[in-house]
Amino acid sequence: MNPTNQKPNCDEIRELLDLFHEDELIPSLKSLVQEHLNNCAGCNAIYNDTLRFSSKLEEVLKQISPSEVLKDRIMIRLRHTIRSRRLIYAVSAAAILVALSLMMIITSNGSLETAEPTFAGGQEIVFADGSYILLSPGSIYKINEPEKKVTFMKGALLLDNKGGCVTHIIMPANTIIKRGENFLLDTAPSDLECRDKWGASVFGLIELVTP
Amino acid sequence: MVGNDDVVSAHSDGELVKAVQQGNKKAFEELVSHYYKPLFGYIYLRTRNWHSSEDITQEVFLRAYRSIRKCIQGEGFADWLFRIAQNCYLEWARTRAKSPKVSDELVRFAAPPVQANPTSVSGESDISDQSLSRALKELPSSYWLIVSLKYQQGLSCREIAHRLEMPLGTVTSTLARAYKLLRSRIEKPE
Repeated sequence: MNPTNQKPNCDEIRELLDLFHEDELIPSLKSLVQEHLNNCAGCNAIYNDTLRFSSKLEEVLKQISPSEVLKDRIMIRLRHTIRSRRLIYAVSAAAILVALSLMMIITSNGSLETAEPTFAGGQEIVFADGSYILLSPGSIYKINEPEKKVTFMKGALLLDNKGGCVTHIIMPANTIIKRGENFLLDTAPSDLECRDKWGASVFGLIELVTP
Repeated sequence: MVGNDDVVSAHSDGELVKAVQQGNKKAFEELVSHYYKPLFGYIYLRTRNWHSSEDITQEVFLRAYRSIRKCIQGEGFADWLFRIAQNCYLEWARTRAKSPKVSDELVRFAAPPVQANPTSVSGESDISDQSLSRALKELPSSYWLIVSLKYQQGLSCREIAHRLEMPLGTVTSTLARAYKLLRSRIEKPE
């Protein structure tokens, strides 16, 4: 509807009555509506009726309006829920971390005591025939043959990160072991024999690379 | 086409929803301020139980906050909120249908603190509160929202248009249709 070109019809005027009442119309449109209301008995009656109806609506809707307290309650409940959720997330995250740590330890070692070994230098590896290699701190040793299981005698200290003694280990060829290095572990055996996983003696499988 | 071009300072729903999605909790508080009255009224007209309506209103906002990321830009926060309200109301109604019937005495306890006027008022002698309430209950939520924002929140048509991010003409035409619908329902009671 263009106020400058054509006069609005009754339906268009009726849609503007709220804005007319709120004094939200631009002056030209306001005078157009006023003029229409002065000349149209039907629209004038509807306008007055709408004013009364609006007043009644306002009265009824006020009766079913909650107090500000409801808004406060909503916000309190919301804050409580957010705090609870944060706590749940924190507890869940902690539980997941603990579970993951346990899974990593168990799947990599088969037992808690043999997890992630570190090399305790200065100790000796004693073989079945009585020979031994003294592992000095900072020294590097190399496995010569592939996939050999080296079983450490009791008294040889290859410690896991919990301080447990590791008794045997499988290492690929050319693996270099050194102090502080982590090793791939097989399950911890109860035997004290020094044999590889094919049953052969492991004597000579470890040689000193650097003193 | 109509009115002046004064800038309405309050944030629109779209701006507030975006802010909430970015972690601004204050923005959600503003949304609560905007809608707790229309939402409560919408629910109360259906439940006719003041306390349950308060509980349901709280639940609606909690659900809205939890899933605010699902509120898509441009969809309209209010429409989305009223859909949640409708679901919450239906859940309440189902639970209530399964539970043992409460006595009339208890129902009276749950009545609104402000007693509805059963008789007519001056100037509108032909409309009772009850018939108008019944008619309001039948309004579509989009009509109800605009009526409520105007008469419960006291917003002007321009402010409603800004808040709901809709053309001013849509607000005025919706209001005109709402009046017409209300009148027809009042004149033709069930």
